[in-house]
Amino acid sequence: MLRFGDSFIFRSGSVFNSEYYTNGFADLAPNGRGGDTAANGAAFYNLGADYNQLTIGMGWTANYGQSPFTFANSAGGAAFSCSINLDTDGRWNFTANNTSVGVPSASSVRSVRQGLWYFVELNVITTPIHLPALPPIALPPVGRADQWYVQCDFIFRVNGVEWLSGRVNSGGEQSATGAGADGQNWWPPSLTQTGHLSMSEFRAVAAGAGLMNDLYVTDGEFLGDCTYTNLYPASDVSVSMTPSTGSSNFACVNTHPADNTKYVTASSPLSDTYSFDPLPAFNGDVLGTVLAMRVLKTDGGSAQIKEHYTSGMTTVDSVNKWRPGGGYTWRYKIDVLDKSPFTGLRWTQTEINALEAGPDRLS
Amino acid sequence: MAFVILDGFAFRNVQTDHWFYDSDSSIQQVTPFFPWSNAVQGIVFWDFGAPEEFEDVCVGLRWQNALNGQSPITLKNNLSGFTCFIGCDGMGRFNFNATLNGSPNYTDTSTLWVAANEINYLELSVQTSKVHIPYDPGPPEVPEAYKMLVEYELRVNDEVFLEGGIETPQRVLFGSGLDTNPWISHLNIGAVEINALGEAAMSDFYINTPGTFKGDSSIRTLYPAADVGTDFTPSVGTVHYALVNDHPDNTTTNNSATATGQIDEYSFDTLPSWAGGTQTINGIAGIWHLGTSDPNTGGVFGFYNSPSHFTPNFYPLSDGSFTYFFDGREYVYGSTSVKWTEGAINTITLGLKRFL
Repeated sequence: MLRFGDSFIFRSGSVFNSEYYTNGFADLAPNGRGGDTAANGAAFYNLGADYNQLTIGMGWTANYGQSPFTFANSAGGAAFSCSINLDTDGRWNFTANNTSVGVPSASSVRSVRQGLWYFVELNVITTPIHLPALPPIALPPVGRADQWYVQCDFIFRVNGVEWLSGRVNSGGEQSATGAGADGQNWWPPSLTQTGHLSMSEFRAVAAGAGLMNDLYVTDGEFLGDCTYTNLYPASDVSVSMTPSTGSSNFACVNTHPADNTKYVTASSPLSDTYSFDPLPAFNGDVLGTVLAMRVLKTDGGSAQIKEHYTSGMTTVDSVNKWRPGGGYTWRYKIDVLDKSPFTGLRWTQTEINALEAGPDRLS
Repeated sequence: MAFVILDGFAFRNVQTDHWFYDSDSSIQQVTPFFPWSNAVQGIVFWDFGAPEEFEDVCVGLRWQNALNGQSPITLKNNLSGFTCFIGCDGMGRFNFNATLNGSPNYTDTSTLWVAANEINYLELSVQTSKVHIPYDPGPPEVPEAYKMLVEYELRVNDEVFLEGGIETPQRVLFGSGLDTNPWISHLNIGAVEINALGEAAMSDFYINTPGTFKGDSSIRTLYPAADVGTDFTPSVGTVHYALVNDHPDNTTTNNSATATGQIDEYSFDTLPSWAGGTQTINGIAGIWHLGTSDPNTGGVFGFYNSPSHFTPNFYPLSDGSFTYFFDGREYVYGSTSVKWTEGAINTITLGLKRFL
């Protein structure tokens, strides 16, 4: 199931680079794959849940010595992370870390060339492994502390071809370190909680002269070399919010990169529905949608928002609802679907072209 | 229910005006989150001042995180060593920490998170109770000790991020009894610290007790706009209100009461309308900036609308320095349930009477 996606196209990466990344930056740069805009920098994102399996993919210009993908979990004092790394010869290896770094995988046989575009994909399955404490024995008087490591089964693909796979164990971390002795360290699994020896965050990096675009994260499925097409609001279908200028609501919310002086306002529970640009014809499947809206709350008081999808007479709410913060911080709120909420099947191009959607203020 | 404090950081010059918060505070103004308010960076530490200690409070704070591991809200009692706080980690998740002695115990981090540099309204509700561990001669011998049970709930933009209960580590009793162990009677909340360091910023700060979530709240600051009572002597000219409505405050312009019984009273700016139509007014706070040039004499009390609606007595410092005095009211005077209305606020007057 699709968990996250970013085309790096609709935002101004240099101005709005942190509007949904937890930390990081992504400056826009031209000359992406297929003429798209690409991003340069590092995008850190908290997925908001712990996963034992994730797959991440994106278009990436090979940049020797960098690690394009890192999965991590820093919740509850966890120190687990794992990454795919490109060495200075253009070959790949995989490493895992739980306070200490385990033995890295062997390097890939194949290599990439510096500066060329590749579509790279990494799948990781994590399994926490417990090494119980052992008491010291008489000779030599050496025991072993209670500790955990994480077993990572990984598959790494370049342009749809598997280049590297295998199993790598992270280094171990003693569970009695830190505050663990009193039961307040939450990273290892216990009888009362699941722990955090898993993946809840990712980092996608294209630093230096590197570029990246077409980023996706699923909970296991490889999507293959895929690309995003951005569709913007193209006409009003049913609108009740107040446009900041003129009388066309859609024209106030289809600027890209966003124009802070153009927006629609809902001072009470109201809804807008727009139709969108047509999807350019292509051969292939629609693997998912990312419905993004950029919101700002300008007053105190409770406010909850959602998005909706409309097809014909049927309207479906977004999976997520949000309570935006106040002040001058615009934020992107995204709702990710890999299948049509109307049919439960893959989106079709016809369905996308007929799709209507928009924002709702609930309270 | 009462507000312990309300502060929109709008009326003071936070860089130069020494304020009614205690020392260890260090803040500066930054770009306000809203046109009508100010936002500040730094640390605000405020000791409620014994005997003002509480076991049930709620703190609200609009906070822009910088994702550098800060603790936006800390509640503590320096007399006992009790400290509890919410931490925000590098991925925007929160946890709750509590200690009475040594390293804090802490909860797991929240699943929900906030994005970098986002401005959110945080509310932390805390109820404390002390737990006594009696002496047991053993074996093994168990020393007499105390720990605290802390019930907490953190809401972000009215949404629950964390809730539950946590115990602090124990603090062992040494000596024999309360007289020699005064910290036992301070196992509660006696101070608050709010933090917005680095690129973080904060505004719209409230504390109430018993703790009640007021929701995402904005604080509007209204200044004296006309004279109602004019017994005091103005430092310059004949218009009283104009000498006490400067912001940031200028203590060289003031009104003086030279004799007991004198009253000054002012009406105020009109409450600005705000988006979203009629909203709930959660309370008001009258603030007086007072000093005395007459050592060891001079006592005043504030009042609302007429001299019969008194505040507690205020005793300005006798060293000539000015201090802010504060009186929070959730409900209209004399009521425990009737909220303020826009009409009531727009006709309110506040004044001051010297009684000593």
